[in-house]
Amino acid sequence: MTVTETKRQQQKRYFSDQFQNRMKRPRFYSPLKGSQARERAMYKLFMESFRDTSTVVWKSTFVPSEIIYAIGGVPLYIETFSAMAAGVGMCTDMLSASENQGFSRDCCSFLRGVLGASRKDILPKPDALISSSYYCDGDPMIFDIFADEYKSLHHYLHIPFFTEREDACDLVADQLEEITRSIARETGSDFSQDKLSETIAISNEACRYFKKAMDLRKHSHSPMLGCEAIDHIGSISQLWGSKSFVRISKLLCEELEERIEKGITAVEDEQHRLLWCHLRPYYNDEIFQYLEVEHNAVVAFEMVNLITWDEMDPQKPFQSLAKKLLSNQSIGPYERMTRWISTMIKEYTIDGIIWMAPWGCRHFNSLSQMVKEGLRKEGNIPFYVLDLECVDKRNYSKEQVRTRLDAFLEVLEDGSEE
Amino acid sequence: MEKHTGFFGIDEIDSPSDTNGRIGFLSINVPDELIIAAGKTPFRVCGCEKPAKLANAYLPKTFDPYVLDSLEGALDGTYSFLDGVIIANISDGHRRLYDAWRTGDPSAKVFFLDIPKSSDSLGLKAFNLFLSHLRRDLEKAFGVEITDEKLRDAIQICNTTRTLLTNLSEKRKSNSIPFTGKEFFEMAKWCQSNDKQTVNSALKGFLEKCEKIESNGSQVNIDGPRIMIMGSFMGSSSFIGLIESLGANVVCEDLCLGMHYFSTEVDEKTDNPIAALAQRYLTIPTARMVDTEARWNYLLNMTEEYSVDGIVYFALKFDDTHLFEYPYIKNKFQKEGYPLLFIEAENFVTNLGQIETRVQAFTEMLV
Amino acid sequence: MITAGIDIGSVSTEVVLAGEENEILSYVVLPSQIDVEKTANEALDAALEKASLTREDIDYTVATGYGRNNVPFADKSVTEITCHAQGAHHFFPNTRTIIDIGGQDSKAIAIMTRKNNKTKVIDFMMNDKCAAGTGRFLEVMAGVLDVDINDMGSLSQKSSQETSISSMCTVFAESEVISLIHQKLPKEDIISGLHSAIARKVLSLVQRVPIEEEITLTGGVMKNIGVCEKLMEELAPKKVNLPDEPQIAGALGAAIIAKKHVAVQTN
Repeated sequence: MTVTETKRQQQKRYFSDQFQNRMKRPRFYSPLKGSQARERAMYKLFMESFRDTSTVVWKSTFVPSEIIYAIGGVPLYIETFSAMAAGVGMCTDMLSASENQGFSRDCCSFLRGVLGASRKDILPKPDALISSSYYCDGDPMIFDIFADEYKSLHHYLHIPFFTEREDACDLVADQLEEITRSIARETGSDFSQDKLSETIAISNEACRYFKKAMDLRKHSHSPMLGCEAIDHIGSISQLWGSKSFVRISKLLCEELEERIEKGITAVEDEQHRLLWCHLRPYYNDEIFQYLEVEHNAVVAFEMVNLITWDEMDPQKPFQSLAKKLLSNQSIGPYERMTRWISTMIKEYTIDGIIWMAPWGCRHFNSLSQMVKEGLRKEGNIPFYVLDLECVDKRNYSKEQVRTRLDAFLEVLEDGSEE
Repeated sequence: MEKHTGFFGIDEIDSPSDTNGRIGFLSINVPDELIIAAGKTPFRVCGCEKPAKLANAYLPKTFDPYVLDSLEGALDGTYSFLDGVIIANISDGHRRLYDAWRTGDPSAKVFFLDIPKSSDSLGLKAFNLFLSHLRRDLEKAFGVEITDEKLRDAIQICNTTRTLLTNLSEKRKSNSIPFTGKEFFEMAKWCQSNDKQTVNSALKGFLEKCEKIESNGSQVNIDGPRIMIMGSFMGSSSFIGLIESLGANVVCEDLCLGMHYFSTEVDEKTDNPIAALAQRYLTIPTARMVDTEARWNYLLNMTEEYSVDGIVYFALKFDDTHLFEYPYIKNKFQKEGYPLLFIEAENFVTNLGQIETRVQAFTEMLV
Repeated sequence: MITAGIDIGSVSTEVVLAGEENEILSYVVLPSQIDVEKTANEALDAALEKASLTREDIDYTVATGYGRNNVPFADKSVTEITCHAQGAHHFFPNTRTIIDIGGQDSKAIAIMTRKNNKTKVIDFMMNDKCAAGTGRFLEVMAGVLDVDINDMGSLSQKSSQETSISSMCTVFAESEVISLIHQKLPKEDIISGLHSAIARKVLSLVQRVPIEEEITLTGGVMKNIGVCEKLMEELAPKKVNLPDEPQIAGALGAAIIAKKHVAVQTN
């Protein structure tokens, strides 16, 4: 370290040391170029955020990244850092750091990871923070803490519960506009309506390809492993609005088309098609390898890759972005999620559902039981709520999970005998 | 149910029979005035104090115990006497409780009040909108008209309650408090679930009683450290009772069954009662609001005005709002020189030996 | 045709040898040792001796339980969920729901019976990393109360007034019990309260699976009559069955499932 190195430069070096080899790691499957491109894009995004001249905006789930790209900023969907860290074995230290500060282990481990990372000072200082009321309360709470620590302004986006009421869209659009303009002012960035319209158009283009790629997965036998696909987190990706996402989605499309043409499938002998709900363990691929490769139960689709919005109107950017985020299946009464899952079951010919339930997650864990009951009325498709940690490897017990997966597989196999 | 005859003698007070029915609420942000203007009496749902069993059919066990307890009460019939219940979007737990309550008890009238976390102009605009939705929903469900006039009347009555409670609360600033913290809590809880005319006349009586004690010089100085209690929803006075049984005095609180209920008033001189309600109810500085500066100033002010010696922070397991707030607020209090005790519990009727030891050690430390 | 089922649990290991009509030829219950293979061999040999059979007489062996993948002589491993379902159904053919409380986990299993009388698991719930609601909970409490865990059932029946235990967490409940002991409350009443606590804990798990009559209780903890009674009280008026030997349901189920695989093998 030189005397003249800035904080961000130090952080960049550390980040690079930790992550650059990650992309070359051995996997149990051969990743598509589109997936590799996505990993590179994420790496580059973070590397860019460490530049001293970058306007870094930390955001939570449903804050549209388009508005940040439009003002020339770098959007960091900051919770994803915990997932990335888990992938390189860094997350445990981050979690310990947050526990040493007094944060309860019962709270969401994604959020605690970021709290710890911030305590260890390995993240680029946010020039602004935007939190949203969904997925959960935790984000606005911790963004308050960061606002205090980093002396940056925290903007809060309230997403109404009843998304279909007449005023819901205007409420969100107004807030989005206010937030965008405020942040542009605060950070000395340029906001232009044209730039935003352009970003929306780019987002649309990526979406067209992404939707097409996801549609291709309806093909029985699936051309892509769930283990690989889930990392794209299409419905909440921070890459929406970036040109790189257009390239990534286009690549995915082309490769999946090619695979289908050539009859290349994700696994040799697909026996079951699973729908995966919520996120995944990020510290290893064991569970997916076990299910998909060892037991031919392919994860045909994931809730997190579901595109629920229509093409946006670049001339009405804030309204369109509002509509986009309000369309998400997680927002509002649970019946909405049930309906979407029902649709996915039919479209992807699903014969079993796994719903991940990490200990600290209130939003999704509280949905699982009621959604399960709602689906039961439509038929007895096996639906298992799997208690499994996403980023805290200390709480992972392979044997415990294996028993549950084995039992679930037995139920699936039993069902297919009929 | 435990009798609380104590200083306030609330068990002896007769409330008129509620011929018009009661509507339950679970959050300090639900305006009493809307319920009253709909012709009903507000009733504070405090959880049925039974461990969740039926509730787990809908919600996971890793969940806010207040929410689980309340749902349990909805499912086992404890709350069947309510004409309806209003659930506010004050946390992930409460948001899901709306789904679970109406699914678990399809015959119940369950209303949802959305509420933002910021009280800036857009936040207020949003909350205005949500309050008008609630008004419309209540009108439809009960076939009544909630007129502006009825709202203004209700505001007046409720403001009286708030003023009276504030006057009583301020008696605790001195060193001779005629009632215990436990008694005050029970009385504040009682006020939230009874008809306001009865409540106001009772409160006037309590104040007269206090004044009498002051005028004939028979007040006694309290001894023991002065404690402020804050944190998760607390539905019962057991914990406060425990602290006081160990020699301390709970003199103020940052709780919903406490000062949040009455610390500010609604603007009566308004031609838009909904806007006035939005203004007052959205600016209550609870832990969930993103305006941490306003909250911190409010808390610090309270510790000074009530001459607090130490703070007990009570968090319910899985109550993320308070579990996330605690480390941050602890730092701030410690910098100001206030010792803090953190207690995490599964419910608020807890009687664990572990807690007793900690509380006792804390009070010994403050002497 | 003779089949063997072996259930290797964290606390105990059971072996059941089943005959042509799935009748129990012999069964054995032994404490589980660290060496799974050793325990498995000893248990099988003991069961064979009781039935006057040899290993060659066994057509197929299915292993279940925590150690199921480490049994050298097993032909197949099947989870305890499927096996308990099968075993409970064999004891009580009208079973639709099974509640199993073992040494370190508890489960609720919903089944249906198909036209060919075979059982099918339609849903199941297992407790997660929590010790409350398992045999471990009672073990810890027996230690605190200084009673033999096998006496807990009969002691609780002597209770005249159950002491309520409000903690759901084992660690908290332990402190609670200690403080109750200091208050000189009778052990019988505390134990009765503990049984209610474990029943409640397990039932909150069961709520997530449709509870349909008839309900069958299985697992080692069901040898504790106090726990069984509390469960039955809570589940009333639904019909609840208790096998004479609730501990062997898993091994029996495994032996029955083994038959299916013999048929497959010979075809």
